[in-house]
Amino acid sequence: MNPLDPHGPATGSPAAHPSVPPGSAAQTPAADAATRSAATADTPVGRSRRTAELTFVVGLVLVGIVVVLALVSFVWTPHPPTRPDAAARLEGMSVTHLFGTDRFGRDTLTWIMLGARVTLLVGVVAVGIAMLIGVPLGVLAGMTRARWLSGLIMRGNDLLLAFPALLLAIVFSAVFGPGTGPAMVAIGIAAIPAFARVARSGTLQIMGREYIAAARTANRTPLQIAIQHVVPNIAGLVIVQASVTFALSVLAEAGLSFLGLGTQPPTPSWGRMLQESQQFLGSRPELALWPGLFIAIAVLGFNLLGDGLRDRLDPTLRGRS
Amino acid sequence: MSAPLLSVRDLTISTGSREIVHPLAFEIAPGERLGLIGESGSGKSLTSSAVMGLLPSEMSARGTVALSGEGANLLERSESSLARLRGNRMSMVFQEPMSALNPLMRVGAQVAEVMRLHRTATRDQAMTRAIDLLDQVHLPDPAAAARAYPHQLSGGQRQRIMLAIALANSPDLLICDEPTTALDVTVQSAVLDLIDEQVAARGTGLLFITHDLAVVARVCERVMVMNRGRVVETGTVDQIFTAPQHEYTRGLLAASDLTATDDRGRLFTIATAAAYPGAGAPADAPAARVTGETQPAGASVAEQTPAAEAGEQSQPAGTSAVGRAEDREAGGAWDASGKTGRDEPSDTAHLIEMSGVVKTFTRRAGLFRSDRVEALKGIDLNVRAGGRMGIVGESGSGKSTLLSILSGLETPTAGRIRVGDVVVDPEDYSGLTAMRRDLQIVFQDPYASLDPRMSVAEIIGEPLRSMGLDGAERKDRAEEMIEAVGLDHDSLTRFPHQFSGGQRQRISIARALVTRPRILVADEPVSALDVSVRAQVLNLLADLVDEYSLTLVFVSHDLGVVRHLCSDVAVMRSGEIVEQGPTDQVYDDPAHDYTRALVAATPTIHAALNV
Repeated sequence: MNPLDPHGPATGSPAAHPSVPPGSAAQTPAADAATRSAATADTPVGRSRRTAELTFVVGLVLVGIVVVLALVSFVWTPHPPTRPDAAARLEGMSVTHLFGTDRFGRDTLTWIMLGARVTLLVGVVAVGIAMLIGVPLGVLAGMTRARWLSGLIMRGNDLLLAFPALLLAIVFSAVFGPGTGPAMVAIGIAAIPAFARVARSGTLQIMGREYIAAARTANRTPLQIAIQHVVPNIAGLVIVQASVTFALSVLAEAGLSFLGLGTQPPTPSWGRMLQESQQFLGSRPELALWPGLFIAIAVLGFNLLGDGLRDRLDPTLRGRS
Repeated sequence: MSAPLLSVRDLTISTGSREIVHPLAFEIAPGERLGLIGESGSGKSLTSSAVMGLLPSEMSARGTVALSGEGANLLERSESSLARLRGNRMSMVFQEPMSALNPLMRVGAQVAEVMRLHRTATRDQAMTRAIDLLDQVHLPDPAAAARAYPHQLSGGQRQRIMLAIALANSPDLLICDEPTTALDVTVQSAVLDLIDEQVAARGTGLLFITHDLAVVARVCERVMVMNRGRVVETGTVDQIFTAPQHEYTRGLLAASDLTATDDRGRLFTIATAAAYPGAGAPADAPAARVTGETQPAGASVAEQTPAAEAGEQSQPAGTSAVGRAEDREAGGAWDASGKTGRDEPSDTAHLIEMSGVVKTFTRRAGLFRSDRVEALKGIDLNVRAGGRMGIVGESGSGKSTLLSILSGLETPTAGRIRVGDVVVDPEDYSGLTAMRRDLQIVFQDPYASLDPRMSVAEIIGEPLRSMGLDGAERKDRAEEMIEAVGLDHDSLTRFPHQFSGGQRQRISIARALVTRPRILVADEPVSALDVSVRAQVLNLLADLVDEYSLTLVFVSHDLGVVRHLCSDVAVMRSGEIVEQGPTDQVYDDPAHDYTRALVAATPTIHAALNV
């Protein structure tokens, strides 16, 4: 799969989480709710709450590892990052170099810690760009009564979606020069359509609810309805999308850096570490192992955290006892 | 009587460690019709699922379920051996015919499928028999119907298809789980007749599950009442309906009888059921009127006796009494409202005036084609200040569209709506602001009309925010309203999902009344509620309408509810008002055929008991 494509798994993932017990949604108002209320009574909810809790904790721990590494790197690293130990090149794991060293004698653990900063920065900025542009567009497209406007937004969206994200990144690095900045902006822009789609479909669903009609009869303006009713109610979907996008940005940044289009030397980046380790795969496989492992930790962590957060934010799961 | 067809002993259903259905036992003799009554959550649907072996996987059943000729306990049989019984010796009709049918398969093939699966017919035989069956369930042009897809049929027709499928292999036991709840009354009546006829013709045992006492009285011989997973009472229809032994049964009976009121003119609830005279009481009324399935004769007796004692307290009295006398003079129902308008000085200004309201929806049917659907075809409707206007009609009659237009949520294609001094126009924001201070709505679905992410205080206070009130004032008003609708103060900090349907509808009412409107518009506010809760919410509405001297516009498909609550009624069908006038006049002496059909089709306990 193209690591730069943030859309593939994104569309499938919200549906894949059975946090809402089947049949609990109001199917028919007049329906006899016997089975419904009984089915949601406690067991399935309890079970999904427990898994949600576990998912959340595991995700938090994994993300926590990455965040702590990044934060600690600002005040302390095992070895000074700028002064490689030329005497100890390509060393294996030892007490002085916990994760070993690379061909210049740089301490791998130190570089992993520094790479975590870039990883988080790219994730936050890319998700921020995508969310801040995509969600308002999607909500607008979902709420507007002007068909041409929603058509315009969604067709523009399709256009962006059809545009290969990798191509976007290459164009950006050609125009602005390769670097972390252009890379994260490119990743962010490429992820806008996913947010816009999720936000729009969520909004369309919410707009059909009677509480929106109630808010309108309470004389709320469209902006107030969007902020008070629509956004909180689609927040769960958006958060899941954000976590997936965050994980994909981590992958995308690593991929771009691997190709030389992302973070440039001397700034440490997991993707570039992977690339540099390539020629030593036979002799020092752990050089590839460590950055690979941490990319996996970050990706998994953000995915799990997103799922967990979504369930925690749902008051229908939270309030039951 | 010979050995029972179905015998259930010590049936217990539990999920995890919690017991949902407590040990219960019942038997159905061959050809017997047993009704199972209960409110939502009583476990009646679970009981039937357990018999069919269709319990959700997280639930487990213990006990014995034995079908005659099948030997041992069905609960211990494997899924595949149960599958051989289902659709063959016992079959089921579900509530929602649309979701029970395969949308991508022609209905004839679906009827034939059940015969081929059980190898009771070859492919060709099955198809011929399927068309035969469609004829038996009275589908017009069965051969053509067999080639139709489910979405091309109406709800009632789909339910007939379901019944044809269920009866295809002439089962010994038919389980109907709320088969008519999703249908309109006139359709319900025909489907019930059909079930009646087919079950009788085949000698099939019937387990009929419903929350509607009137329906069960019409179809069944014996009734079992369930409450909170227990069978509280079993008996013949006559025993249960005329001499209920258990408190809950009596309560349920009292609460579902919309014609009986206590000495304050309010409906009986489970709590006040002790004073209920019983459904059998009006049976003393002249038999001549009762045979015609119309209940008015018996009903008016029940209503008027306590009302007379209470004097002014009973609510259809007062303003409407004047109007009623006059309209009787006026004769025709058509000019009734116009007449009152001219003659009574106090009524010179109608509070709500709708004239020539037309709404046409354009639906795109293709690239260059579009369908026009006329939802409203020129509605003229006036409501005087303090009036209680009921709007009845079946699904698709346009009553909800009318409300949307009245409340400024939709733009009419043509016509004029005036509320108070404001001409309603969704484009005119300041006009709407003024109008919405006066007119508020209670919505139908208590599960969808409250934002799940807001606390109850925020929900109730929302209309006040638009009026620019600050937080403290909103809180005071919310507290006042939550008390007025009979909920605790702590409710304000809780979230909607922590409340039951009835409580949510109270919250919805509180939200509607927090702006102190003059007009309350209610869109089927009780149709999603259980019978016992329905009575409470209707009483609350009546109390609040009195207390705040509201003008009420009440939309419902349920004629009984409208009769109880409203002084005037307009009957709608396919976008038109076919008849309007004072409630009693329209119900007792309908001028239009459709009204007559509607009144006749509405099941009532009195009618069912006297057939």
